[in-house]
Amino acid sequence: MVDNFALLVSQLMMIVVLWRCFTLPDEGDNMRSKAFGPKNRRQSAEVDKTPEA
Amino acid sequence: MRDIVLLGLILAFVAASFRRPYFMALGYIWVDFLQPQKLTYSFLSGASIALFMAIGAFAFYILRDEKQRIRIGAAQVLVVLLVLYATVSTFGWAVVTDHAAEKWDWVWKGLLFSVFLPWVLTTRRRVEAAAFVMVLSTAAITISGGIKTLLGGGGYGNVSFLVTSNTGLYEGSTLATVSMSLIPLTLWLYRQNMIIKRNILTFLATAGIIFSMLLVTIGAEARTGLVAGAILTILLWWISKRKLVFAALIAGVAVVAIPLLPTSFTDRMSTIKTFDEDASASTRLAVWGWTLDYVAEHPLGGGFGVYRINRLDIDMQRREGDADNQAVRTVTVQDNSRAFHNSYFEVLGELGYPGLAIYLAIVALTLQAAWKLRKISTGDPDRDIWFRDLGTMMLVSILVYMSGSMFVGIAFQPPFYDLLAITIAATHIARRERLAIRDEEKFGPRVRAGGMGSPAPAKA
Repeated sequence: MVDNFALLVSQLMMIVVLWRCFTLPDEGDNMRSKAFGPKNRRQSAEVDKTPEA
Repeated sequence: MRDIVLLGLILAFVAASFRRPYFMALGYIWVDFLQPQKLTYSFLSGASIALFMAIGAFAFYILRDEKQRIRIGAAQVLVVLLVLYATVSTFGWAVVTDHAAEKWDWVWKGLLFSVFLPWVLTTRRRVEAAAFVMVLSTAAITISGGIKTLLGGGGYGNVSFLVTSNTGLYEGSTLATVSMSLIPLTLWLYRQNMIIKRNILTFLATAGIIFSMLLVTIGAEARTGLVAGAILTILLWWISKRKLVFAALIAGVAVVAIPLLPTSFTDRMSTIKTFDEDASASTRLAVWGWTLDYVAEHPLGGGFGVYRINRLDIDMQRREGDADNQAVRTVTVQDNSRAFHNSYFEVLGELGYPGLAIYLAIVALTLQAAWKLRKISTGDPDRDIWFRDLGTMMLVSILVYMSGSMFVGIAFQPPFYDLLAITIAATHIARRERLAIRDEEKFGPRVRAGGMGSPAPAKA
């Protein structure tokens, strides 16, 4: 019972993630700035202060 | 019923690969972590699903995927060398031939697939998907073990994680170490993934998975887990921006949680201090001594499973009498065929000094790759965050894994090599993005079929 519940929950989460990967358009890498723009701007300000490698 | 559901998932991976060829590689990672053939008692039981998925992943890559020019790195060359050396050892001079062949059968597949993975994980989304599959496959086991621990079913060697098995992630100490090392990756996925947007549901799911990983470490009652957990806490504190808040939080959790821990857990963990009185700990020291003696005579090692020939005389301290008048005397007990319980001694005993040198070089190069990733710059600070956070978390994950490896023989288990593959894949993606950004600065944005000037042309 517990095992089946654990399998169900984790694999459902995995299916949701994989379904998103399957259905999102190919150019997913560039979606980041659209989806998480405000967070990135805040974080980029922090990164700007760090020295370059 | 389980057979049908798991078979459905395998078929779904295959079907999805016709549109997204990298799904077959994700399917392999899923099989490698979850081992669905062990979860069933019917037609899938014992089937060679891993081999099927590996061949499928390679075929889909060759036939349907867009190829990226990726140069093989030093760490990958060393992994191939380790597989070749293990193969020669297994079929050349292995002492326990049947066990050596049995272990070699899963080692070569897992290691070679990790070498192949960077050619498939060519976009950020693919890297994230692979990380999600790793975490959520492990979560299936940790959620089960975590709930059982909450219900009072913990105990060293007593917890059944989905199935009663002592191999792969289903072995308590291995699961504890892998769980602890996947917590940083889980945090990175929550913070940086672009597949699922951050919301209250993803927060609860992340918190639940991490909680289950902590619970299962307590439930397994493996000292390995305590060591890995301590290293994880220290490293997370070290990288945290608010060190005082983090320290106060950990102290608060410890004050609340420690009294609630099962007595069997605290009793077992306290044996770390009195290792010379504990049979398990004393046996480990004896096995490590035996390994050093063995390789002194056989510097090339004895092949996989060589520990099965050991015969040990173990000196242990015994306390006798009451607390006021206690005497300590040394007793010698005999034992045999004891496992290495340490990844470094595992490699030393099985593959000798050359094998250990290759393995340590792989570990060093993996740490270096993660370190370089956390300093990487594509030229676009927005894009760098994703890589740098991954590099930092990978560094923590690998250090935790290597610390746990001091007490459990997991040198050839796939999770470490998959972490290496993800680090290498991310480094290549960063390099491509840096080149694309430089090109754009020089020549202006490229007009591509996708219309967005994506620097990574492979299908997401």
